[in-house]
Amino acid sequence: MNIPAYKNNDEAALPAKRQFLSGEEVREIIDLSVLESFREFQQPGEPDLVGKLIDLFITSTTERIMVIRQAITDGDTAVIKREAHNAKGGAGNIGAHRMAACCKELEQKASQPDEAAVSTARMEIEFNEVIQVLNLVKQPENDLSAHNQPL
Amino acid sequence: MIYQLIINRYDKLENLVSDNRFMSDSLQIVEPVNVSLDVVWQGTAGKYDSRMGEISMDGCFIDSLGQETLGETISFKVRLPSGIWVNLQGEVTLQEYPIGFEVRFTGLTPENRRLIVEVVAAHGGKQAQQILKEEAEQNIPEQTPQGTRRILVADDEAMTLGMLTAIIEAQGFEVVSAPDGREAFRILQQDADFCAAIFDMMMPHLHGMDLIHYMKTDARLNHIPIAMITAEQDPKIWDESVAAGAKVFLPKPFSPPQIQMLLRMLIKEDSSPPGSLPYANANIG
Repeated sequence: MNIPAYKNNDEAALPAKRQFLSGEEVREIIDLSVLESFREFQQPGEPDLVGKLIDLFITSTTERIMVIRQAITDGDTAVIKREAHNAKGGAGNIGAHRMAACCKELEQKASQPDEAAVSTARMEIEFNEVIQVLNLVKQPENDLSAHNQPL
Repeated sequence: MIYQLIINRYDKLENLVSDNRFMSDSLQIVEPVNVSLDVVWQGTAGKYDSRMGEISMDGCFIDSLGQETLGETISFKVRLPSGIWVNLQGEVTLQEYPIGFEVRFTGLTPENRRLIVEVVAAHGGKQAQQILKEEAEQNIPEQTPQGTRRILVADDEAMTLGMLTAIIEAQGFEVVSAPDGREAFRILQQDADFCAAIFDMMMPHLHGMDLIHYMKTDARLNHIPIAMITAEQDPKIWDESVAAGAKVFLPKPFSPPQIQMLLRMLIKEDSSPPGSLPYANANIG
């Protein structure tokens, strides 16, 4: 799988345009150059590394959000803080810096139930946007780097 | 008073900039280059967050309002352009209050000396570049790894673990991965055949710090170099992990070049391609 050629600021090459997200919006949601940098570590004959990293991120973050929701219901501040902290690390590492900022906010407000709930909602909204872009990146027909044609 | 201090500082700064030097003649010999690196240093007067404004292969100039006594040895940590913090120490050789002070490095390990040469070279130091070039031209054979090439990696963030594994395996190491601190502990109880260990700071059941404490008290494990990775931004955490025995500390998010650099710092072998500068792909500030 190739990540589309977003580096040259070619709006037409950005995958999310199909979903009516502008190139600038995509860049605000996630810095795709981070995943791009992992392409050089793809081993021949091995499963697609970038696709695997995307799947791991989506699966683990989805699980974390469920744990956070339950922890808010239970009033378990330590769990909220720990899971928000870990989600922050994952989001930051994949280049979803706006989502990472939401996770940091949740980590800081873990002991305030109402604010924690609001922060979690913000984090989920960001996460959904990240998923939207990542799913488009994963689609084989979005191998746009080869022909670089407008969508 | 504070304003006056700042004005004095900038007046003096301007004069020195016009002379194009902060560092003393002895350290000028080894070609200082301008940098802007985060520094945290501790002396008798307290602890300060500062900037390193110049560095040469033998010393550096730290921009700081904090004063230190000439001849005193201070410990400080500096964040390299790769994002990794390195612990250094040196003797104060020049005071330029309130601009800062000059430090001559002391007790440099070969690995840290090499890192400093690389930083100076990456910021335009001709002598340092020449040293690296000659080293590459001599085609120094890479050290043949003696013993194991296995690295224990523990992180409860699955994607981060996947990223670390991909980068480390590409460097020719075998990764033994653990999804949390308890699993890493279980592995270490049965297996000591690792050339390095990389732990996330915050994990369920057992934190990275707990694992360091365990490893440092077990004769089978206490020689294994350890790196800590964390999304925690508090510099105190860095202090604690280094005090506990971690050799390298890297904040998240990290990039592949940072992990490659971390491996080189942990394991005494040069895995970079001959002739390449390790900062070639990193953000050089």
